[in-house]
Amino acid sequence: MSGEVTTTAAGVVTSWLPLAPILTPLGLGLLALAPLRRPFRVAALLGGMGLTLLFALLLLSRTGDGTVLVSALGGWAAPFGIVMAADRLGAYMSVLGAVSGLFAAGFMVAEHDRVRERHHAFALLLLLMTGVQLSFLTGDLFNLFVAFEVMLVASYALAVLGSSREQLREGFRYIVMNLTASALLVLACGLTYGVLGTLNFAHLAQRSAELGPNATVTAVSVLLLIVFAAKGALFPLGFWLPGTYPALPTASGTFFAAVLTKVGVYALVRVFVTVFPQDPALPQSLLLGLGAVTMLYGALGAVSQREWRRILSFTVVGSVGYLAFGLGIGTPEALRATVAYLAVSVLVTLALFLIAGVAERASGTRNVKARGFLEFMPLLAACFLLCALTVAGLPPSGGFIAKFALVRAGLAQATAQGSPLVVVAVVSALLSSLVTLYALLSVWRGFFWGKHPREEPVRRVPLAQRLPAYLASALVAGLSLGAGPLLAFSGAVARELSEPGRYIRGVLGTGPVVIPAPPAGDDVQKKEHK
Amino acid sequence: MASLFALIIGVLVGCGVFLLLSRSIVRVVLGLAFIGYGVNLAILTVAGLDGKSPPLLTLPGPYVDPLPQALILTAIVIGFATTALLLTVALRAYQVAGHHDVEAFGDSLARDPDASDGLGADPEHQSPDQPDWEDDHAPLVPGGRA
Repeated sequence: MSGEVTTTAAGVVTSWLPLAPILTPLGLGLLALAPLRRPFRVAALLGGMGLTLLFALLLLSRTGDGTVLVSALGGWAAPFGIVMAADRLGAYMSVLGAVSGLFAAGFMVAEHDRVRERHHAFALLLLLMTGVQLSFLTGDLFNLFVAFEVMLVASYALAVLGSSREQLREGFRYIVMNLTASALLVLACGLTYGVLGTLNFAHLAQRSAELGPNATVTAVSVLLLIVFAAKGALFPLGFWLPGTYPALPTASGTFFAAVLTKVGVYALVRVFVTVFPQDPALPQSLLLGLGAVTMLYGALGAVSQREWRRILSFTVVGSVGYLAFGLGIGTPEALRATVAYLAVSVLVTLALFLIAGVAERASGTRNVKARGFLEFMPLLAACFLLCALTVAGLPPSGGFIAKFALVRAGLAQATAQGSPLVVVAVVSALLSSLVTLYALLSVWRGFFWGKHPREEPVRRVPLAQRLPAYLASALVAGLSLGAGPLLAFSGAVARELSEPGRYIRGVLGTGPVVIPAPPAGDDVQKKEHK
Repeated sequence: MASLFALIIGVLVGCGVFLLLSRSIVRVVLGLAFIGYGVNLAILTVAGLDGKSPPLLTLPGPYVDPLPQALILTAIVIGFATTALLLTVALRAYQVAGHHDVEAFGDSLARDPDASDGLGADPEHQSPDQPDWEDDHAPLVPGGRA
């Protein structure tokens, strides 16, 4: 597996590798649509997710030295054609997405939901993965919109698959919300093209750097911020999330919770750190403010709920708040902590939702007040405690290290700038950690603690359904052991991100972009935009 | 020309938002379609409304920029697919609950086929409303495939 890397004269490293994690789930997803027997479809699902993970890991190792791997579709070099570009951040997100996909697929197979399987849940999960990987690896703003649509269409179908009444209600809300955000995204793409005359990320970054701070560009970038805030469920735009995710079946709900909001966060990083870093004051203060409110909203919402996955959905909202907070601080240290927290958040959400799936099956109810399960499922209790500590950010866990780095970066910025908004956000971060801890400990008290009432049955959960939860918790434990390497890697990602020139050179090459003499169409446009 | 387009876009998106805020599911779908049209026109306007540049290379230039048209075309195709999907969900909700109102999504109404303000749930397309897991031994649909 050499990766077929070639370097062009301009210094662009081209390879088919950035396409592999996108095409693998697409191909196997189409295969899983065929009327095959179940073992074959299971093989397509697990094989597709496994291969995607393999390619994503290969991508991560190839980009580890700071190269940007590019594949130009149809051989049209950037900025004229659409390119897939994988830098460290893209490859890292791609790996996180693929890991979540593999676990969700494992649980989906073990769950053996005949009705949904007959209606192609396997194929939809693979197509959802295609969209997720495409969003992480694309190098083009409009293609990002297409990736979002691929991802969302699959997610709409998964959200209403089975058409129980709750699913239809929440699914409709989810679809309408996301379609509205998508319309805004298309509009923002069009405006960006109108202002800067290109849609390629690298070329956009180059042109916006040449332009310097510009009010129109800032306005367009804030429009993009609104879109990605809606996709990532930041505070005023995230009301759909805590209703939608618990309505889904466990397997797809797990994948949604672990990855889909993070796609929005990734897009925020890409757009505000790589593409439009010139005028950071307004977007950063917006992100800080929204992040501060989102953290508190997530934590307080989690306290208010009594059902497993509703509580966890609110912690997902809270974690998006932390990521927005980190982006809003904007220093390289904060960026490093944000990138590290991304991994923590994805893996711990994955583990917690899988644990919730097992717990709901064992107790036969979604309510956390089942009591006394410590006696029956001690290993699950241990896994839950570890994950709860990670979400709350208490010492032995990897969550503590990432959150500590975030808060320290916030405090450093607060003392350096004296901005009251940063102080408020830091206070909100600490406070909501505490409240989240309270919410998760009430789950512990309700579900694991106490004495189980005799008349309530305890169902056996097959090992195949418990295994994904255990393995995901092992990964969470690995986060605390591997926090050093994770932070070192995040530091490398942050350094690469704070130097957009590397991404630009990696995609466009070292030479200047020569636009071939146009048949004068360009002049007409410029006149219009003056 | 551009201000006329801006006006049209404003009216379209305004109608779209108005419809989006209504209680009827079909109106919500139409509202989203209106917003989509407004956005497509906005892209066209942003790209420059010259009116004189031909899109064909056989005619004498200067030529119009084809990229915004490609964007609009893609957006139309995607909008078509998502509208179709949304209508399917709306139809399913109507079948399950017997309302084309957002009340179709209320929890209690569908259990009440004699509700005075709505039709009963379509008996041929009732929601299975089954739990999302089941015992391995009990076939879900009697006589259904295992």
